[in-house]
Amino acid sequence: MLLLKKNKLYIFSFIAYLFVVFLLFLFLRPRYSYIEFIERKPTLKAEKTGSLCQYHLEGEPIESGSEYVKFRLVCKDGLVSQNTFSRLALKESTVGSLVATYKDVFGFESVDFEKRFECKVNSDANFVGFAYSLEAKDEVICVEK
Amino acid sequence: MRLFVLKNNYKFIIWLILSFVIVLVGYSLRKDDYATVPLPGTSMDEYSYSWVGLSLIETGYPVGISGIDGYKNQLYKYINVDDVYQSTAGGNPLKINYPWFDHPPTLGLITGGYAWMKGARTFEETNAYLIRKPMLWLGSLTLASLMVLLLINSGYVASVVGGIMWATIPSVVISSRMIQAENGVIPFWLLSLIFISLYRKNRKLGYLIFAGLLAGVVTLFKLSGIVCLLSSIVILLSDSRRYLKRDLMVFFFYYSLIASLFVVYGLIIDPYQFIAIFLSNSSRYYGIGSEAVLKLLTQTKLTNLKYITEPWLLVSWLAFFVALSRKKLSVYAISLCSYLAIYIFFGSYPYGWYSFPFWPFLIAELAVLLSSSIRSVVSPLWAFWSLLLVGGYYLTKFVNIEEFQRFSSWWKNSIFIISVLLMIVSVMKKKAGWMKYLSALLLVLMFTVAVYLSYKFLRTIDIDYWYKLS
Repeated sequence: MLLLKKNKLYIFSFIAYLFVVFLLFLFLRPRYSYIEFIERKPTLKAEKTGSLCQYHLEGEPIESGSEYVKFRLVCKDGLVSQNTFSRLALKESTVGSLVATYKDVFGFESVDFEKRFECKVNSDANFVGFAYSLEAKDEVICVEK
Repeated sequence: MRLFVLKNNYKFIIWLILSFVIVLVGYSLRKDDYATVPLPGTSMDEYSYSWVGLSLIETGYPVGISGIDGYKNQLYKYINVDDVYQSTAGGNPLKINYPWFDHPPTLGLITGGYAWMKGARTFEETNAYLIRKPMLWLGSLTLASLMVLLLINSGYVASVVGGIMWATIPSVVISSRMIQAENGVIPFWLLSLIFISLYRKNRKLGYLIFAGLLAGVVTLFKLSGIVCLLSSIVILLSDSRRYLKRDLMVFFFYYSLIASLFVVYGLIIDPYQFIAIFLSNSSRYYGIGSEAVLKLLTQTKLTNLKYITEPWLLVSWLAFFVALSRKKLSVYAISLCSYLAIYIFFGSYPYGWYSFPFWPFLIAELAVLLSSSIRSVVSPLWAFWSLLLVGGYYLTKFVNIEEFQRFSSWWKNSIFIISVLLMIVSVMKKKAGWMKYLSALLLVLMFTVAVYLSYKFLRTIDIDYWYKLS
C-alpha cells in the first residue's frame, strides 16, 4: 500500500514535470523579432539636454583591432567631443550611421545633426554628405554650423 | 523545526526576534548605496543576465553578452546603460549573442523580470537601480537561510553569531548586491541543505523531496550549482545506511526533474547552438591557475579587478581547517569541500564571484567555533586570536600608528592578561569555574567590538572608496 502511494507520488510528479515542459514550449515560442527588440529605443530614459559635445566615449575599441573610426564633434560653445568607435558596431559604414550611433549612445535622439553639423573626413577640405562611406581608421570631424 | 519549537519554546521565540532584527539590519546595510557600490559596469555580466531575462519575457528568445566562442549569431553594439561608456565599460562595443546559453536563465528572469515589471522594455532601461533590487531580497534570503541552517545543525548561539557576521561583514554585504549567478546559487543551496538537515533529523520523505527540488533549482542558476547535488549525496552517504539507496534515488529523481529543465529549454530554442555552447563551456581557458587555492585563502576578490582585505574570511579558513580535524565532517565542511572540488574542476577565470559560494560555509564554521569557544566547549584561545586579528585589522582603518601609541601600553597589557587567563581556562577545562564565565564575557565583548568596527568600516565604503580600491 505504502509502495503504491509512493509510486503515485512519483507518477504525479512526472506529470507535473511534463506540464511544466509543455508550458516552456508555449512560453519559448518567438513572440516578437529579437533583432527589432535589440534595436528598440528606450522610452523611460530621459533625453539628454545641453551641449552635444559634453559627452565622449571613454576608452578605445581595442578588441576591434584596426576596425575603428575616430569621431570628433566640435560645437559652437567651444566644447569638443573626441571619440573612437568600433566600425563593427555601425549598422552601415557611413558618416550618417556613425552620427546615429553617437546619438544612440549619448541619448540625443531628436537632434537633427544634418541641419546643425557639417562633416569632413580625414584631412579632406570638402564637406561630405551623411551617406559618405567610411574606411577603417578614418577620422570624421563634424563642426556645428 | 517543530522539534525546536516544542523543546525550547522561549529560546525559539528569542531566536526568532533576534533573527528578524538581524535580517532587517542585513537588508538595510545591503540597500545603502546598492546601485552605486560596486560601481555599475564593473562587470557587464550584471546587465547581461538581466537582458537575457528581459528578452526572454519580451520575445521568447534569450539575448545577452558572452565571452564564449561558438555563437553563430552575434552583433556589436554600444549599449550605454547607466552611462557605462562614460565610466567603466571601456571603449569596446558589447558583443551581443543570441540565443544566449552561457548559463541557465533563472537569475536573469528574476532581475530582468523585476525590471520588466517596473516598465523597462529595452536594454538601456535596465539600470542598476532597478536590476539590483531583487539581489537585496536574495541576499536577505541567504542570511535567513544561513541562520536556519546553523540553528538546525549547531544551535541557537551559532545561528545568531553566524547571522550577525553574515549581516555585517563588508565584503559579504557588497558582494551580495552583485547580479552574479553565485548569488542565486547560495540561498537555494542553503535552503536545500536545510531540508537535507531536517530529513537527517526526522526521516520524513517530504523533506528529502524538497531538498532534491531545491538542488535542481540551484543548477538552474548556474551549471556549477551541481555542487548542491554533490554535497547532498556526500551528506546522505555520511549517515544514512538503512535507506541509503532509496534516499539517493528519491533525491536524484527530484533533482533531475528540475535540473533537466535547462536542457529542455535549450533544446526548444536552438538545439545545435545549445550543444555547441555546452561543449565550448567545457573547454574554456583554465585561468584560475595552479595557485587558485592559495589565492582563495590570501585574497578576497570582489570583481575581476577589485580586492578588499577581509579578515573575517581569513580567520574563517582557519576555522574550516579546525573543522576538518573533527571525527565527523559537518554539513558546512562537506559543502565547502564539494565546492572546492567544483571550483577547481570548472575553474575558468579568477573572477571574484566564483569564490562567493565558499563564504557562507566558512562563516558557518567560524560561527560554530566562536559559539563553542564562548560556551567553553573548545579552547577559547582560537576565538580570542581570531577576534584579535579581525578587530586589530579594522582598528587600523580608524586609528593610525601615531595615534595608536597613546593606547599601546593598554593594548599590550590587556592582551597579555587575557591570553594568560584564557590559557588557564583552556588548561583547566571543567575546573576553571568562574573564569569560564569571565572568558565567555570577554569573547562576547571582543566579538561585539570586532563586529562594530567592521560595520563602521562598511559604512565608509561609498563610491569614492570604491574608486580607490585596487
